Amino acid sequence: MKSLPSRAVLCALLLGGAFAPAIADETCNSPFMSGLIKGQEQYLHVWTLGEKGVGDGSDKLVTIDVVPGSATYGKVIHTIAVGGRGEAHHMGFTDDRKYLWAGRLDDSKIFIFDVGSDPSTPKLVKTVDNLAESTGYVGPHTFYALPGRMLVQALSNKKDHGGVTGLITYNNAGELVTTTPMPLNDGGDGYGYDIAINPAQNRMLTSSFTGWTNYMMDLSQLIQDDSAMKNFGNTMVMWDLKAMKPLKVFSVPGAPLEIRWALKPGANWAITAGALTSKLYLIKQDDKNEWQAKAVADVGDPSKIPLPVDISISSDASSLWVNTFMDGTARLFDLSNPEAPKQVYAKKIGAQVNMVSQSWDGKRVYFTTSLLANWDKKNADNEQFLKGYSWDGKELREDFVVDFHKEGLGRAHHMKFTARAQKAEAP
Amino acid sequence: MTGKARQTEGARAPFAAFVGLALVSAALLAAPLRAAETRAQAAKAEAANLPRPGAYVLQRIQRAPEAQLLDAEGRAAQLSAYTRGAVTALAFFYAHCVDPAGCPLAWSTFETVARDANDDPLLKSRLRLVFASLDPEHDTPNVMRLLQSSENEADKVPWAFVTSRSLSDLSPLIAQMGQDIAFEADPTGRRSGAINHMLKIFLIDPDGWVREIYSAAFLTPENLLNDARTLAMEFPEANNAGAAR
Repeated sequence: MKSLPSRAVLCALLLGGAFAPAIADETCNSPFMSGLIKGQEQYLHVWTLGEKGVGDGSDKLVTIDVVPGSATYGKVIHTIAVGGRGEAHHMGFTDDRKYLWAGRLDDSKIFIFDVGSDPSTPKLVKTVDNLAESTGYVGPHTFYALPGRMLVQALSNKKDHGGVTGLITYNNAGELVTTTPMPLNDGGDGYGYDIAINPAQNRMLTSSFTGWTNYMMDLSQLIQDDSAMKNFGNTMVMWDLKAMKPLKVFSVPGAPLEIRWALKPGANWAITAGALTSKLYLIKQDDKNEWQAKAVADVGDPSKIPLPVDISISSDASSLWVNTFMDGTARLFDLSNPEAPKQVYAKKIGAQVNMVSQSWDGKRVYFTTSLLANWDKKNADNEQFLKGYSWDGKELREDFVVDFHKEGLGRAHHMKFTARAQKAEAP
Repeated sequence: MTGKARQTEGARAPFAAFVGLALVSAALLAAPLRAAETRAQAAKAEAANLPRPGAYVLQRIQRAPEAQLLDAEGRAAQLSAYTRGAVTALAFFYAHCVDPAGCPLAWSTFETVARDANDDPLLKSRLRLVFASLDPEHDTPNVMRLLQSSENEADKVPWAFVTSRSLSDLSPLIAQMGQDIAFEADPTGRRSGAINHMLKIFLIDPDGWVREIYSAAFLTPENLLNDARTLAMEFPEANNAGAAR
């Protein structure tokens, strides 16, 4: 069932980079979360990988002022180092948006920051450091709020560090509630990556990536290892959310990563990007109301291995930003017909680009660079930055740049927004 | 009548209760709830494809903490008196709340749940509803008593209204339950009325474990009833006969 990237793909990967994890932005937050920022975000938090020889070398949460006109606009106003380098990766808010959970894929630690008391100065309030021992899973990747809980998608397992893994439910106090294995039957490969929930339909989608052995391996070594290259996910799973039971496994070849449900009322479809196949896949009900997954567009020229990584859907589901890591390019797809997305714009952001985060109104778009410490490009191509752009519907205009190397910070990865004056509102 | 239609109709009841209250002493309370009556309709969630009651397990999310409250008669009461022995749906509210995704939505949901549960032998003797005030300053036991009397007919599942002596008494409870609140304030820092809070309804089993939490995104009477039936099947000995009203 698993399809391998071609040798040409592997060679291309060797030239400088790779695909990998990502999620971000206001439109990808859990629908169970309150306080969506539909106006101007004030602070942008970047979960940053420590890098040897850069600053203190420690993983850290970096806070940037993103209010236009502010005296510190586009500047780092706060950092909080958590100690060590454990492959800092993704973050997610609790349902009340008061706390930000941030995970590390190597040592499997989860850091819980208070961002509600004063979002300009997040405070570390708890560290969960027994995930592997208490659950058998490692590599906490996606953090997805449920009411009173945090659903965590792990990437791997303690036993063999392969891709067979599971979901972990914590309560908001950081106490373990339960674990749920990814399906291994009916076409399931047991892999995990992202989570996306459609509450109105009581449906949850998950995607699949790879295990600890692969994501911690040096890329040049990995892509020469035929055996290792077999160990990538090729499935997505539709779940009964309430029962937490898998309903259907879809064949989605080539490591389907980020998942976004259309937020437009009544639009019951989701979209994802296959990293290795460079395709967009649509998950939608057919004429018989059966959920199906199908490829609906290429991202760039798949033969050139652009490696789609993070995606960001507009709040009205009319467009989708897709970053391609290898060429450092942001591509905008018109989703007015989700059955046939069309690329309508592209701009090179840097030598490498991974994460994309857009404001609710789509007028501001932010980009960061790091995939994984051992997969980022090398030497001069290892640019590490946050760039903020304005989007007027036709052109991205650069507003500010934070150079994470010059600032002594490290590798810039996942972004989340906060604002000081938040009011509880319906998701 | 559809569930949605019944839910909308149910949103009128708090207003009716407050009209009665207004005749006595609190006319100002009526206006906010009248506004809520119409605005609540915008915040309806949908829920489809729910599994069959009893065909799934609700996880033990957290313990319902102990807390000192006041019942509708002004008597001291432990929260556990309202969360043990029966299947309990607990919501935090305040009488002036007009957020369409907040208290009015919880209220209309509870009214539908109470009506449907009353017709369901599995739930009629096992389910209890509790509204706990976030605003002890204004929601006195007298107010609770009026609301409680409006929602407790002889043959309906019990629906208790409780408050606290003070915010300091209430604070540990809402903190432990994960019910975040924030008081709107004027430029001088004085509270200006609204209590911003994310709607959460807690479904608690007879042993005092929170087994489900609902926010506006997934709150429907059908969903809550489905889960309550699942717990009632898990706890056939549950009994609301002694529940405080």
